[in-house]
Amino acid sequence: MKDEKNNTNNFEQKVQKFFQKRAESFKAGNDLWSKLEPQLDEKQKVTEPAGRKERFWQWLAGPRLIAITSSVGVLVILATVGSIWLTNNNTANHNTSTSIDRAAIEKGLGANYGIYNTQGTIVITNPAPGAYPMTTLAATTTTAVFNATNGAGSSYTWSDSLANNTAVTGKQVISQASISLNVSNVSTALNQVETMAQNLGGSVDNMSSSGAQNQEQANITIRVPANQFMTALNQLQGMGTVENQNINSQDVTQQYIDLQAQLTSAQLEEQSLQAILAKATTVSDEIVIQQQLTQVIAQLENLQGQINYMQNQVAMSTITVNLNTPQVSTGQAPFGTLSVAVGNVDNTIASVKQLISGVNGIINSSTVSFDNGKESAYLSLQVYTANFDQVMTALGKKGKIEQKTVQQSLTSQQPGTQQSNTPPDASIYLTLTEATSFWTSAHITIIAAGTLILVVLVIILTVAGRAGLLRKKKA
Amino acid sequence: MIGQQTVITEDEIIKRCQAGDREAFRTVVEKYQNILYGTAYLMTGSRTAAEDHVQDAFLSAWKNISSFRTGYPLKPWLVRILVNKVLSYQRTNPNIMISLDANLALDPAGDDPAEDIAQRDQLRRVMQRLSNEQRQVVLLRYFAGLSLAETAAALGRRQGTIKSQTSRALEQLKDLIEDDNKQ
Repeated sequence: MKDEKNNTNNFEQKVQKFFQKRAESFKAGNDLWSKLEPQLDEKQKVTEPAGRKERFWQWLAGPRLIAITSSVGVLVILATVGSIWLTNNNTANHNTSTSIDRAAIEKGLGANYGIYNTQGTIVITNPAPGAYPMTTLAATTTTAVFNATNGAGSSYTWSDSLANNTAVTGKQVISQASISLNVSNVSTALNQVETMAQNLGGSVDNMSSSGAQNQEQANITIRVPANQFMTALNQLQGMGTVENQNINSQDVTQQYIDLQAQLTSAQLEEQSLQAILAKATTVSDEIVIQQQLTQVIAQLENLQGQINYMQNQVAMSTITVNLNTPQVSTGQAPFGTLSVAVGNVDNTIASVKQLISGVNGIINSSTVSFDNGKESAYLSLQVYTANFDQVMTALGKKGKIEQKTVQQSLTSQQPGTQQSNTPPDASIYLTLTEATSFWTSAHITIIAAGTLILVVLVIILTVAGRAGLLRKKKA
Repeated sequence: MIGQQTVITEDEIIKRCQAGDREAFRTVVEKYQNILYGTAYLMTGSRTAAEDHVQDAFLSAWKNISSFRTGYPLKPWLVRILVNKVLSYQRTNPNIMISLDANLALDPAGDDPAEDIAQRDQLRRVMQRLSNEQRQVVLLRYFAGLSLAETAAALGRRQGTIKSQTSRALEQLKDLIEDDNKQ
C-alpha cells in the first residue's frame, strides 16, 4: 500500500519534470509588451469602479459575512426575547399593555394616575391637578381618554370632546352577602326583612317561601343602598341565629373604566359617522354609513346597558337571606368558590350553563369582562346540595384549577335526596379566566419572521457565493 | 529566506502596478508571458489565438490589478484569468476545434531550435492521450504548476473532481512518460 503511494508520488514528480522541461520551450513573441502597452491606458480607467465593487465583496466575504449574518440573527432573537420579557414584566406590574408608550404618558401626568388599556384606548384616571400636558383638559376632569392607536413613541393628543366624560372618582365595588338565619317564625321574619329593606331605602328583589308549619323555609333577596349594606347585615343578624354568612365584595373599577372607555370610543365613532353621513352625496354611500352607524349604535346601547347594570350593582348591594326554622335545618348548605383557567371562556360558559341546567340548578349572575385583552367571567351558581360535589368536580374539569374552596357541613343532605319543592341551596362562585400563554401569537410571528430573515439571508449569501460575487472575480 | 524575498518583491511589484506603474507591470508581463503563452497554446493549438488570449488576459489583469490582494501568488491568478478567457472563447465559438495533433509538432514560431521541436512533439503525444478535461487539468497542474486548489478554482470544478481527473490522466500517461524519462 505504502509502496503504491510512493510509486504514485514518484511518478507525479516525473510528470512534473516532464512538463516543466517542455514549458521552457514555449516562448511568447518578444513584441507582446509593445502590443500591450498602448492598450493599457484606456482600459484601466473604464474598469476602475468594478475594482472597487469587487473589493467591497471581497472585504465582505468570509468571516466578516458570517459575523454580520450571525449578529443580525442574534439581534433579532434578542429583540424578540426582550420584547417578550418587557411585555410580561409590564403586564405583571401595571396590568397594562406595553404596546402603548406608558412612560410618555406618565411623564405628563404626575404621580396620581391610573392607566388602563382597552383595545387601543387608554383611560387615565385621577391625574394630579395641573399636571396635564395639555391645557384643553379641564382641571376638574378626572378621566381623559385618548387614542393610542398611533403606537409606541407617537405623540398623544388629548381630546376636548372627552372632557365631559363621566368621572370615575372612586373605587367601584359590588357588595353582596348571603346570610342563613334560624328564626322561630319564618313568616314574621320575612316581614321584618322586608320592612327593614324599605326603611333603609332599599327594596325586595324576590321572595319565596315553602314548607309546612314548623318546617317552613324562605328565601328573600333584598337590595339596599351600598352605604347601608353593613347596617342591613347587622340588623339581619339580630333577627335570629346566624347559621351561615357570606360577604363578598368585588372591585369592578377597572371593568367599569374599560366600559366607559369603550363607550366613549363608540360615541366618538358615532359622532364622526353622523358627520360623514351628513356629507354623503350618493345613496350607496349613505346605505353603507347607515349600516355602520346601526352597528355602532347597537354597540353603544349594549355598553350603556352594561354600565347601567354595573352602576346599579354598585349603588345597591344585594343581600340574600335564607330563613329556616331550627327544626328543619338541614345544616349548612355547601358553599364553594372555584377559579378555573380555561382555553375559551365563552365556550366554557355555555357548557357550564348546560351542566347547571342538567342538575336543575340556577345561574344567579354571569359577568363577562375583558381585561388587558383577556376575557374572564364570574358566575354565581346555585345547585342542590345533592349535586354539589358532582358539579364542583365537573367544573374543575373544565380547565386548570387555580383556586378552590369548599365549605361543607357534615349534616348536609346526602346525595340523591333532592328536594324539588325548594330552590337549590348550595352556592358556587365560579371564576373563569383565559389561560395565559407565554408565547402570544405576536411573539411567535416575530420569531418566525426573524428565522425567515435569517434563512433568506443565508440563502442569498449562498447563492451569491456560488455565483462568485463573494469570491475574487474571475477576470 | 530567498523564497520570502521573492514574495516580497512580487508584492511590491503588484503594489506599484496597483498605483499605475507600467514599468512594474512590464516586469510582470515578461515574467509570466511564456507560461501563459504555453498554456494558451496547448489549450487552443493555435499560435495566433494563444497570443490573442495572452494579450487579453494581461489587459484584464492590468485593469483588475487593484482588486488583487497582495500576499498571494500572482501566477495562479493570471493563469485563471487566461483559462477563463480561453474557455469562454471556446464556449462561444464551439466550431473552432483544438487542432493540437496537427500543429503541435510543427514549429509555432518558425525559428525555434530543433530540440524545442522535439520536446513539443513528445508533449503532443502525451496530450493526445487525454480527454479535453484531463488535458486542461494536466496543463494547469504540471505545465503551469498550479496547486490542486488553484487548478480547481481556475477551472471552476471541485477539488475532488480535479483530483480524480488528475489520477486518471496520470494513469493514461504512465507508460509514455516512463519511457520518456528513460530516454
